Amino acid sequence: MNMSSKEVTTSKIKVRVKYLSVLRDKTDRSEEDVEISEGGTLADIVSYLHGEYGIVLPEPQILLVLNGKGYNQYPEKLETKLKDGDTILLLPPVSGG
Amino acid sequence: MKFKGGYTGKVMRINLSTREYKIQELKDNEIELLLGGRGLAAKLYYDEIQPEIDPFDSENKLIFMTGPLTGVGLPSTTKFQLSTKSPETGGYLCSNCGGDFGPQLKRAGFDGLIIEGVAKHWTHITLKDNEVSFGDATQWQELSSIKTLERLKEEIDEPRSAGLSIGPAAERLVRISFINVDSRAFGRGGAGAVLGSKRLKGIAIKGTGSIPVADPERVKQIWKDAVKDLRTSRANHTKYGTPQYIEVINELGCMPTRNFQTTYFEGADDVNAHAMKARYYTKNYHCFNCSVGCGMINEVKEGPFAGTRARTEYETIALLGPNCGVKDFGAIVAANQLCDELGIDTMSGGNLVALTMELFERGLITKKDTDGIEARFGSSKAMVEILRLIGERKGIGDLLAEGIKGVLIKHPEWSPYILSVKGMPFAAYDPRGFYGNALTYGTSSRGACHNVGGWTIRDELQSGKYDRWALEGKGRLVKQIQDNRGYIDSLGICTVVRGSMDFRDDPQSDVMEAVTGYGFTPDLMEIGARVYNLERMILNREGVRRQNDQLPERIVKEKVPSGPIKGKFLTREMYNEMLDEYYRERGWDQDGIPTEETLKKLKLKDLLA
Ligand code: SF4
Repeated sequence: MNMSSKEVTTSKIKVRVKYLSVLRDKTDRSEEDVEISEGGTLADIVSYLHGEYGIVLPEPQILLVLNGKGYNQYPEKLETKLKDGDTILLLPPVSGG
Repeated sequence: MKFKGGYTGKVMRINLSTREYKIQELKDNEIELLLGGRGLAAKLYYDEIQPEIDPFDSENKLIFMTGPLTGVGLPSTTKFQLSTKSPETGGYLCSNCGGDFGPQLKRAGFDGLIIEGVAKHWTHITLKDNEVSFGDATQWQELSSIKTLERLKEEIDEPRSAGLSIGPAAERLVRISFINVDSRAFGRGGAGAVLGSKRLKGIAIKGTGSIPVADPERVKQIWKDAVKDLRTSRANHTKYGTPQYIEVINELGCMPTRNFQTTYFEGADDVNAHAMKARYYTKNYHCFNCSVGCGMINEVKEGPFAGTRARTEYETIALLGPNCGVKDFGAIVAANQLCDELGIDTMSGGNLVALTMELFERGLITKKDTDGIEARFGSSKAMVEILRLIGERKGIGDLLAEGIKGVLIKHPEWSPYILSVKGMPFAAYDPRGFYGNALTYGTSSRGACHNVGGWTIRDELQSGKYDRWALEGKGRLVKQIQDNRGYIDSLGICTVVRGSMDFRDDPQSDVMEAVTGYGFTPDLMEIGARVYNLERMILNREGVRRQNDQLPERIVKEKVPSGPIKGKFLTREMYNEMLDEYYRERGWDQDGIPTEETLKKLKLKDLLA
């Protein structure tokens, strides 16, 4: 494959971000792939969300879930490093009924 | 009575066999220890419904009980409780319901209503304050639960009256029949069939009194603050209702799909809250005194199910939709309406339809058994038709109408495909996705129920304290949520609004003081624990032990085969590790029986002496 200069810089990773339920109303889309630098963290996604949609995190009315677990269950919290192919969910707080 | 408000201190007892009725007093010390609602209903059940009694025996009773907040001028004070022996599980049933009936009962001067005996012919009851009259309901047979409510309202002929009713399924003793309460329901456990066995088609009620509170000014202020809080804290509920969780639960990988064979439904986009809002939503439904109005009334505007209409909740959508492989929201609304008309529970109904579809696809039953229905996953038509067969007790519907426990007794070889605990089919969450939820299903006082059992998903996902797939700590977590729910269900308010009045794990005394003049706090959590232990004593008396707290085969033997949590599993050993911790936290022995010390500590020894 003929690598362009951009592709040679293999230092980017892609994560899938999904906007669930009421969160979709804020972003007008249900999901997207976001590209960040290799070694990037959840904090990079947080700043992307702020820049793109004005969403400020962390905030109690929005849950940030990385690969199925609340971000605050990871010891590094927002500083948790992301890997290519990770899935992030943004969802409203959940409660039974 | 020592309480200055919230209670009337009286219970109306109506005997259908003799057509006599009498009023009895509640005892202050029982209120102090058990609060009301679920707690007092459990105590009456303990005293009056013996373990050997069959659910359809004339000695079974329906014990309706309000809580101190039911009907009071605070948000969502709509709830009242029922205890009875369940036709679906054959054991203790506690059930919780909104609507106007509870508040009207309180205005009529009663904290509770007990129905006993069996009527000689089909009957309806009218209760106007403390006047009881019996009417002939022979002509009302086969009327839907909704039409029956209309007739009851005509009979009582009073503005803002309330009613409860059953549909034709309950007349046929279908064991998953509900009681319709002004479009809310005592849904799970088949309480409708108990009314059916008593030949009672419905009750209309009107109370003209007022409900005293200890400090009216303070109550007004609490109301204002709570409503303000709910505007933001529950805005999502107002906008999308519980269907907002379809996407969430699916993406978290615990959506019951094709009879819990997997946990992710590929067609969820067609049945989620956005699809609902765009194509089916008409308006919100509000229970009594509720500013949130989380009920979503939906109507099908086109296609084969055009014209059908129902208030569609998350549980209904999940169990009639994904769990049956159905991605046609219109069909779910139509099925929901059909269940309302027949008077059957959508959750148990969804489980039974899904079971039928799996049996059919595995070739264990054929079209001969299903009245010619091609009962495959994904078929909307089959889903609706099987529900009809259940309600009418026709073909395989006659077997399914015995409830999942009845099916299992008749066909023990089908146990690999049956998802239930203590005879109660699963709620709409796969416990392999959140291990706390497994313990919830196993230890709930009424079988596999997410409400009474304790809804753990919030804590396991967002508190940061628990990993959803960790075993440790889940016993403590589940106990805590169950105890919280135990006192909330005894208060008479809706769980959705509890936070707005600080009814959390460390409740403040403000609201209780303002309403009853008595703090109850900081002991509300202890009251919740007492209620839970009292219920466990009832279950123990009915034969429940550790072996009955176990989960069905599919959950402890099969790995999740696909979706976001592919490969996750929960073995019996893992589950029992959590169960051990739970028993320790509760102060129960290895067999799930409260120790003498626990009963003493919770003052249950004295209370039941
Ligand atoms: S929040 Fe929903 S369930 Fe609760 S009282 Fe209000 S409308 Fe009824």
